[in-house]
Amino acid sequence: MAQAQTVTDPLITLEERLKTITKVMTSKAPIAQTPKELVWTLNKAKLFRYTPVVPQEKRHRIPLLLVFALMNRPYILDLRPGNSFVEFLVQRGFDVYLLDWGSPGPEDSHLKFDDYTLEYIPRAIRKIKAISGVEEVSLLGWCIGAILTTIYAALRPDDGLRNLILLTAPLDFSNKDQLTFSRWVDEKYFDVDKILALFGNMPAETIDYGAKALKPVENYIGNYLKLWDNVDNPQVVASWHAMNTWIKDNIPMAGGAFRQLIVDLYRNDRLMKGELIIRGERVDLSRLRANLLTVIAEGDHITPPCQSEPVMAKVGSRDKEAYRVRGGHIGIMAGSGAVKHTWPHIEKWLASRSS
Amino acid sequence: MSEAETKATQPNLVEQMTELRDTYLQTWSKYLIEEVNSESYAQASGAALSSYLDAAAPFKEPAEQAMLKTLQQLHMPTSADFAGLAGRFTNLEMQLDNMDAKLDRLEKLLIAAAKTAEAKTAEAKTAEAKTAEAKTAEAKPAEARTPAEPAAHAAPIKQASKKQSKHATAAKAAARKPRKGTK
Repeated sequence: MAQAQTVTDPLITLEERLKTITKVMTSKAPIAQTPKELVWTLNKAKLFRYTPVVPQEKRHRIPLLLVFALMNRPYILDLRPGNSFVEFLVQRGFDVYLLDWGSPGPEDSHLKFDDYTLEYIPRAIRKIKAISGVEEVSLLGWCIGAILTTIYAALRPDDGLRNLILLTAPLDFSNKDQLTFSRWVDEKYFDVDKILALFGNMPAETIDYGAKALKPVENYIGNYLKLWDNVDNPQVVASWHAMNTWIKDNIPMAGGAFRQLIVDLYRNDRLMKGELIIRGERVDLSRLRANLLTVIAEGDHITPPCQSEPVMAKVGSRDKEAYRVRGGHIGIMAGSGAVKHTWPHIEKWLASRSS
Repeated sequence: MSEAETKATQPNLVEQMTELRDTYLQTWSKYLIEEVNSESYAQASGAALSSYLDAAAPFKEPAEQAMLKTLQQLHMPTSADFAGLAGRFTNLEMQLDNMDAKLDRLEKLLIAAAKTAEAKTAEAKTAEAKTAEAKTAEAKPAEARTPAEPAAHAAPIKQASKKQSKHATAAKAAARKPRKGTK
């Protein structure tokens, strides 16, 4: 009897584990749960305002707009209750807005950085000013979102931008040896026009493969082993489930913007050289005068620190800080260390500049 | 070996296995990261992508043409029609957004104008109150006078005000008349 139990117990445990794994790998976790309201739309883009929970007299005066990358969903900033940057900020009295770019269709393949930086962002900011009744605003850009916000801040320095926060910002493309992407998209090997002629937009699957292939063992094996090792820990499983939901939810990148990313930035480093032209205007980083905080992930394999650091010497901001934090491209904002290090630092920096 | 001893050794075995597995994966990870970062990998992945694109491209146009013809024959909108429509909608949205911005500006101006008007009204009221106070102050010593006196004082004041208003009307009429030689 006892022997039979010794044999069946591990089998039952194994069955339970497999059930959990199947469930988290085949279902979507409840994500982006912080209450919000849709306040503006343009084409596929949506502007959300998170419902404030702090009384108005205790809130920070200047609203904050979050701008994420073009090829991933922005709810990584509001992953799940208890592990949400948005929730963290709202609870600390910030008036938080999120610009969701949406998923571009074939009809949007012409969209370029020009459209995002000089149509979408300024219009969203105008709406925020109208809602909040404040003529100033803070911007937070992450990854490609950091490129867009930097370009906007340099082109429209008198538009009321008080604070600019850049997270893992790929702005400098001069150090080709440290940039794996740079090597892959070299014109010798990668024909950007050919791929866009076939697909119109850059397919989400190709971008996802590119990001994962930088660390193949971690992304294709290590990630699942982490789940297996912690399958009896409901907290780790819930966290893994939410992150996996986000990782699998990729979106294509508009063809025009992708071409600019490859040709103007990865191949020719035009932003840092001061040669990037957006709607006929040259992007001069010295015109960027907003208070600047750039958060650099020391273990970032997608945007190595060498891409984010040099901008500090180029901008015209008097108040500027580079904050280095341990972690990877996503981990610094959504990992377990984010709530201890990155979020409090950003909150402290922003709070003292938002009155 | 007792049961307790067996249990004590089991986790160690699992831990050892896990450690061994992690070390193995770390070695592999380092190797593969170096590999994908090499020129040869960039060349190989570029060639693979290029051959895929070369193979797929010839089918794209005929497939699109066939689809276009089919949809036209069925009197159904094509993808180009949808793209055009989407562009129009976006333009409309932009126009609406522009109007919204203008309305916001107008609202701001109206609020500012209302505030200025309120301030002016408040000023006028204060001035009126002051005049009334001054008049009251003037009237108080008059109470001590005989009842016939105020009427005698009031008559010349009324006449004077009538004269002033006549002058003012004449001046306004002169101002309205166009001058000779000017348009």
